[in-house]
Amino acid sequence: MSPSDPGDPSALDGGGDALVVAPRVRDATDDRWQALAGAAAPPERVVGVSIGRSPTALRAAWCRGPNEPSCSFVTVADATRSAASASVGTLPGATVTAVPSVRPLSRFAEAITDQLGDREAETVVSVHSITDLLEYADRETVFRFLHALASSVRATRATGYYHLDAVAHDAETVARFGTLFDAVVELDDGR
Amino acid sequence: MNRTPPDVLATDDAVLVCASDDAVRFRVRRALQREWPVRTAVTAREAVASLGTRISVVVLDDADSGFAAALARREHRPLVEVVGLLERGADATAEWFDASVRKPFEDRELRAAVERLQRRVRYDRLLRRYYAMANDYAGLAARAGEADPAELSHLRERLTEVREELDALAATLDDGDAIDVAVRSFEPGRDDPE
Repeated sequence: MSPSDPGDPSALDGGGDALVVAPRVRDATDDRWQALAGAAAPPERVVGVSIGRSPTALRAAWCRGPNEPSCSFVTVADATRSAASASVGTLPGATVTAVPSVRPLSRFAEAITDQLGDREAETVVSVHSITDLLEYADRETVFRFLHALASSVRATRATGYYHLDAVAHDAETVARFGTLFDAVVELDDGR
Repeated sequence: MNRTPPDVLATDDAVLVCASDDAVRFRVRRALQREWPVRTAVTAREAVASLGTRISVVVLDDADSGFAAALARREHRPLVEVVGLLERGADATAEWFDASVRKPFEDRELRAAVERLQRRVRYDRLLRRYYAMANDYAGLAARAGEADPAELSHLRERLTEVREELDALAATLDDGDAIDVAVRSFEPGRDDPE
């Protein structure tokens, strides 16, 4: 699949990963992400990656409904805290691995890929968001990091959705990061 | 458009062997020369002078501290990986060794270490090329009204091809190597506690 022009979630009907250009996930009434997942097949499992903020909103957006997937999250505990190890906690219905910092990126990536097995065809990996990553590292570093991460996710056959804040970036940035994925999907606020 | 040399994925990059001990140099050359061109350096000055000439992997005798000091300061870090030949009982955690082989070593052990590092260098180079192409594409796409649609389409197809090559290459790397190569030279002090 080649990088698509921005469009609706039906661009993902054939599977594959995507750059999702959208406002941030807000709360449990935010249906856009579930609609995105429904474009392919409802996931059995969601691995959420929440950078710079609580995973609560991401959990609320993904982990609900009649066929609620099992959910685990990797979150940055506190971007300014000095700590050496990850900790594990819980949200209702979800496991949370909190890493002390996005950096070093290699350890952050390891925390994410540790959540994945060899074959994860029914798993969605939702990274929220590239915009936050760009606060920790320069554009080229984030680009390279995302290729390596997305390549690992694709190798497990999981579906990756990588969020970019719609109001924070220009068209060139969207196009640049869009090349890393099978599709670019723009989701409107919808209300 | 693409500013990366066409030989970016050449697999015949030479291996530079840095050892002042004649026996060690001979032993390493003999182990590697059937698979890669091998160059040798007897002094630190020779080693540093050789780095700019299609060298992607250096095999360094850790017993020669002069080589270590000279190469640690090298400017070619992003595209050069180092195998350290360690004495029995030596510390294998020197942070700028990308792989290490303990003496006495088996030929296949050394070749496996060099092959692994060659793959890491190829991934790094192709990722650099991909980023340059993505920037070109993004610049054109952002002014789509002015860009030649055929050029845009061609570039998108090439990006897809190169991304598939990258994925295939990443799949041949050891666990964690793709991420390590992707971010290492861009994250100074990455191993320091935050």
